[in-house]
Amino acid sequence: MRTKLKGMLTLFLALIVQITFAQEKTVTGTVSDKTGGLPGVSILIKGQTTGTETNFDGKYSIKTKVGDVLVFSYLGFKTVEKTVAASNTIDVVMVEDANVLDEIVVTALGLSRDEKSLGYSAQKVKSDKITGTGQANLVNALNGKVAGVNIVSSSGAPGASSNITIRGSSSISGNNQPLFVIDGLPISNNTDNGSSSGTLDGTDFRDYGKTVGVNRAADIDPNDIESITVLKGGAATALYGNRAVNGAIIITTKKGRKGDGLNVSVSTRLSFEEVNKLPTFTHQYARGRNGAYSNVTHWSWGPAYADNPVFPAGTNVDLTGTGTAVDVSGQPIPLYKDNYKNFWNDGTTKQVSLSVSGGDDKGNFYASIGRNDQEGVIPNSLYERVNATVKGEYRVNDKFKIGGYATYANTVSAIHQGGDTGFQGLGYYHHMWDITSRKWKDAQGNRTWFSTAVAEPLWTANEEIERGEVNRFIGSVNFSYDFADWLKVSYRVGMDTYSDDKNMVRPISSVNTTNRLGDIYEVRINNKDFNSDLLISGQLKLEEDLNLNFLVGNNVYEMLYDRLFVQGDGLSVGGFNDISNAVTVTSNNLTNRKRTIGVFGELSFDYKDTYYLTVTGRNDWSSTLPKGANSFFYPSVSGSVIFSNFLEDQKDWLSFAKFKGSWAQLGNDSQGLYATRDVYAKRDPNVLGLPRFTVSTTQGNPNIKPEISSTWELGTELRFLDNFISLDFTYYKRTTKDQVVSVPLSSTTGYGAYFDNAGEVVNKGIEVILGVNNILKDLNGAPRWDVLFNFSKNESEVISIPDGLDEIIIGYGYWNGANIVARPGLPYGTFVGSGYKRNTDGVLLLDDNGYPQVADENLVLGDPNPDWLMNINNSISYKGFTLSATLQIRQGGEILNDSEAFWVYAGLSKTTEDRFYTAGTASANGVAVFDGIVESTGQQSNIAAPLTNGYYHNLNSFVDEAHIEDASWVRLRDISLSYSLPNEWIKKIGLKSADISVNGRNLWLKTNYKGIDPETNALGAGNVQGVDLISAPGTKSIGMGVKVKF
Amino acid sequence: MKKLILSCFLICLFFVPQSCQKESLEELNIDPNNPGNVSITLTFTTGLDYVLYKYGRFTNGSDWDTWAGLFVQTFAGNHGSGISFDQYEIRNNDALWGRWYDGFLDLKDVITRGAALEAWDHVGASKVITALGLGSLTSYYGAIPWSEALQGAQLPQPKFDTQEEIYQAIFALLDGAILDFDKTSLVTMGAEDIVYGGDANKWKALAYALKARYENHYSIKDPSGSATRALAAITQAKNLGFINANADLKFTYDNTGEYQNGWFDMFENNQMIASENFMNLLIATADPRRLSYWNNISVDGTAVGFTGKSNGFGTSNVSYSPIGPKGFYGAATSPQLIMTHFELLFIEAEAEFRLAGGPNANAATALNAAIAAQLAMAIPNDAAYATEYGTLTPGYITNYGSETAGTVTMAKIMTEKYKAMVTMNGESWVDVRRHNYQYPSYLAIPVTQAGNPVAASLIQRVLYPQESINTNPNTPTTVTIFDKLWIFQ
Repeated sequence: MRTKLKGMLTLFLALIVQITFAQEKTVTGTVSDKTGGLPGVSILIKGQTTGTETNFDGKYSIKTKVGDVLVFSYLGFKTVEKTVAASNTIDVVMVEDANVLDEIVVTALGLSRDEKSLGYSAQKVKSDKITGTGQANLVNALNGKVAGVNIVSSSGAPGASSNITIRGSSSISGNNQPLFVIDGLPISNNTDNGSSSGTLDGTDFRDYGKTVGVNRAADIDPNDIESITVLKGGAATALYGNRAVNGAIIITTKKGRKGDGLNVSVSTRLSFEEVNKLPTFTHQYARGRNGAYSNVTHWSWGPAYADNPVFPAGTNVDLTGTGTAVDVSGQPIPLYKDNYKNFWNDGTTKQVSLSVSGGDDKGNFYASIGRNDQEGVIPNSLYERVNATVKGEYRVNDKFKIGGYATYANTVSAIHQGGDTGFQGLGYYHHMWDITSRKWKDAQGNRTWFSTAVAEPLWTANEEIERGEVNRFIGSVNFSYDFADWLKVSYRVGMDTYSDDKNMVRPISSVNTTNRLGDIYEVRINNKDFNSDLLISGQLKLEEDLNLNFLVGNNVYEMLYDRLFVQGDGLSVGGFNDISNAVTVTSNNLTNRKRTIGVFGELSFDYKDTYYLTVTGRNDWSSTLPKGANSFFYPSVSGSVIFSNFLEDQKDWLSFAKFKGSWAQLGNDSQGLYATRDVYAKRDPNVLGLPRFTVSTTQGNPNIKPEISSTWELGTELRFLDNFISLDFTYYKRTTKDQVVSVPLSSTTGYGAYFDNAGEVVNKGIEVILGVNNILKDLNGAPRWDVLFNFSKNESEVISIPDGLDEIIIGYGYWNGANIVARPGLPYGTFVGSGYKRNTDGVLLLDDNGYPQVADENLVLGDPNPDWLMNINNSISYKGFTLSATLQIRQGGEILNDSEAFWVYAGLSKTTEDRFYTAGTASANGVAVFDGIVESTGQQSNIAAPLTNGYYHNLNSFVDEAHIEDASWVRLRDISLSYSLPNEWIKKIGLKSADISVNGRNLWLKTNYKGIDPETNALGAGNVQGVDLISAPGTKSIGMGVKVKF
Repeated sequence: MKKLILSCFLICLFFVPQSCQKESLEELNIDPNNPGNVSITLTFTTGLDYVLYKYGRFTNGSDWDTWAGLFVQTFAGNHGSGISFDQYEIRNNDALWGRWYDGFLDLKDVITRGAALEAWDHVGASKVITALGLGSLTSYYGAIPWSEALQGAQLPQPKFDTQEEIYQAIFALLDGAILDFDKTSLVTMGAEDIVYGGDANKWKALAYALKARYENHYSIKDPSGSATRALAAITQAKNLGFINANADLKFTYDNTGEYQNGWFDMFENNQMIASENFMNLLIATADPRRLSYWNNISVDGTAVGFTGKSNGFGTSNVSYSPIGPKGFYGAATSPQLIMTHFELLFIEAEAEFRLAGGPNANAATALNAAIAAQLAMAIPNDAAYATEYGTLTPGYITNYGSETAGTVTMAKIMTEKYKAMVTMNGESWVDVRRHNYQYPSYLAIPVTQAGNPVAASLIQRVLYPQESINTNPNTPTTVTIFDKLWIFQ
């Protein structure tokens, strides 16, 4: 069938060619590089639009005539020109060109730009770097690939959300994540969580007990991606306007190529994952309090196992989970180590993807289906995604082109609640239980664990599962008409819609439900983002060496988000999981609507291919701003100078040099919706059956303005020694003023907050991208070895906040509620909480018994932002083998380790191993001399203070400072080895290529952090970052993949 | 071909100027999730709920009405915040303050819009509950914002009125309410009144009863004047029907959603349990209310008997008696008492005693009536408990509820009131402080298990919420928990 089709296609093409160029001659040949035939090389006749591509063996055939110049070009290779002479054969050997600056990058609005003309940073990541990671979530796949981008995967749960920020966080209470754009269409990267509002902002400790949803950009199948360009904000995204104020992730999907018939690609990958780092526990003490066994406690402050403790007389306990307590008096208290470790499963991920593409002179198409099935480390957790994509382009004539893109994703997930409810039980799990065998429910389906307040982890993992299904459709059509070089019109309209259907049943007897009668919630979300872009552009030659590109355009963006949340409390029938089974049902419907209309323009000049200057302006009208004041304008200017053009003599060592600089303003209307007026708010539940409406706690402001973010950027791009070394250095400073802040009000004003324009945050930093290309190029026959360093350092500082406030609380930690604040003079998101009393030299001030004391005031404790990040990407290829590895370093940045606070309280943390029960208890008589001064005497302490339960509780667990830890790490983020089977083998079985690969992720991690992998965040993507609270630990994985093309 | 181009441009024309939603930019900015206007009956319910719900509740932050049980030492701390507060580790906690001012704003909404509608019953009731909330707040914090409060961003940093000014505001609100109830209301108050179901007469009686309470708070400042004014208010309250438990201000729990009695939550959570001194007092006097207040079984079914823990002790591996569902106060659907008929009788006894400067028949009669009134009401839920309760009651009335002009003392009045006010801990703490921690006689600075007193003095107040310190520079920052409030000086 395939051969037939191919034959027909060839015949068809041959016919066309025959008819069109019958009078000309045919030139054939082979294009190769040093390893052999090079497929997909574009061959154009200079000055004409006709051309062809090499086939898989690097062979081509083109109708031409003597005197024509054939231009051979291929990405990453130097372009070759050959003049057609008498010979009918022209073979070409192409030489690699490490000068990536000739690359075309896709910038704002899907515009293609020559990278050397850009006055700002845009960093491109190619498809194989993304799919090679085996990550289902493209945001995770980007981790370690781009300078200035900070990505934190929130947990090891399948479908966990990942937070991404570019050049720091600059909005105090608004969104700080970039805009995602796919083939020119902005798409939603919403995160919907299992709370009644869908957001988790850490303003309530119960937020830590909700399910954390995936970030919706994860719906995109990485296999469909051709490349990703990261625009780092400022001038780069000025044309996009307010939605891209935090930068943009520009995704370009694959398309069909003109040439040898159908290209079919099949790939599959199987990965296994396991928890990569475990916290340390003490296994020396049994359940109990004050050194004695207690049958009611959650604590492990009981007898030391070293003393072979037995259950005291009269102890009835259900050790195995039968549902019945039995008398165990006098029996030894069992000891099962590694319950935490044994709780987590090994995960597996299976990925399959199939794509078909093809094209001819008139058009091309690409179609794919893909499947990603992941079973995670949490028992019963899963993330299954099916993708189907079709993309096509048709050239009606020389001037008129139509294209379309459509992708569908279906995601099915099973996820669990966060640390306040989900795995809180792991915080208390006594060693006397065996987590691998204990039954969590009895024959009636009721829980068998003793606690009425804390859920057993096995129960929550097996019984309290949120099941979700997302159906997403993204589609766009575009067409363009080129009236002339100086006038081109293009239009793109698209829609991004998804529905999200979540449901969670917590069965009867679940301890976290009201009266332990069980509950259900149902969430239905419909989201619709509409986007329309009309662009009119053109190119004018003003003088001999002066060109002008102009662009004017219009953008309409609309968002309609509709979320229904239904909560049912009290289940009547066990096992009947319909909402009608609930005794009390409350619901709320959240409808968010927004429209912005933008008009924008751009003028770009280039002079002698050396000087480039671009100015842009955009005016937006937004529905979220007050009537009469809903319009705002913002300009940008950027430019670059290729100064290597002046240095002809130095070309040997300085092959290319460019200065770039830009300044841009971006307006941002992303404050809360409906912020301009006061409303009444419904409060659930009813009181004695009566509805409650309250004056809304946030006061509206009819004078709200958009916030303005200004970015300066200066940099240089240098290539040395014939592109052997490339260096890209950028300095930026971004100031966001007039921030639209939900300003906290003293509750005595009757309101909790009001919206106002106040506050300023500055982010400044540097990005260095250093590449060493083909390090061994001078050694004959040596492998190709490329190294790329991405270094970035960002410093954020809150400059001011509204008058009269010391700080704005962004969110709270969990255990003691440490504050995560924006406070002038400190980085955004700084931890402030309880700490130890010290003198001005920072020396601990101890009490008369030699213990540290808790300071009266809250102290500044740490900064969750990294000091710097560095990625080292290595790629070595030799004879079909490619070994690539990304080593990633995160220096600095703290985490609030509330998991540890939990385990110290419970007496399970290794920290509590050295403890004191009584002076006579040899197995627990730990003391410590704290390094500090006794406050009352002023003398250095020499008091041996007993490490009692009270000490660990009040002076460790309950003190935030004790749990702020450095989260620096070095990790082998990715390593992969792939092998492309030699052509001569695969041709025999009719394949175009075959690659097999083995890859590993997070195989090595070095950190001093006490807990799990410090790349974690309890509340998922969002502004509250750096809190660790018993969520699924990070994982390491190993995968094997096969990719075949025919 | 032409057709194709034409249709593309038609699509352009169709989408560019407009789009999916028909509404204009301004219309899209109208919040579809929340109404711009609602009936005052809705904010009225909310205002009542927001203030009254916080009596007898606890969170890890600071519902002082509940935690004050540690300060008056009817309860002792068992874990978490219970232990911290029992050991006087008081931080700048939040919780209560925010919800109450939020509720005050809803009540202000009723008072402002209700006056225009001549909904005088709603207006009056809103003033009464506002006065009650202010009375409770000032009993913890002394000076609090009021005259400049509730004005949002127009006055973002309201000044702190002195406690004296707050008391004046309370009396002004109560007097204003009494006048409002006398006016003809054009809007009928009905089921939205979650306290009295729309009975304005009961509200008026309550206004007088609260007036009696807050006048009586001046027992140190103006001993005889306050007694006279309190007694006058008591007479009015009684005349209007504040003569039995039907008149009580209480919060009714139907055990749906968050409406589960707060003491039942405490039973499950166990942060506070019975105080040793108090339990011993109940046992020593054969007080039937031992069964109204305490459970002899903990939430997990462990038999704990009737034992209390000494205040300030800290953590322990022994279990003690919790407040619980077997008694009267701690079931999921038990009502939370806030201002009761028996409290009014205790106020009467104290005022009569103070006015006369010593024992007298009126004081004795009121005391006996107060004890009898509570005992008649506080019958335990558990059948066996109720039986034992019934058996003990007559003896208790004989021994402690049969005072005469010759036998009644201030110690007896205040000790009996103390025993009766369990779960109304905030007001009980006012009594204890008004009498300088004299009654009952065992009150002393809590002592840790290591034998150290937790402080050098007894607690007199709590610290301002962190939220206020963060958002309002007028918040006094130099206070300590040992500073006596103005009303107790």
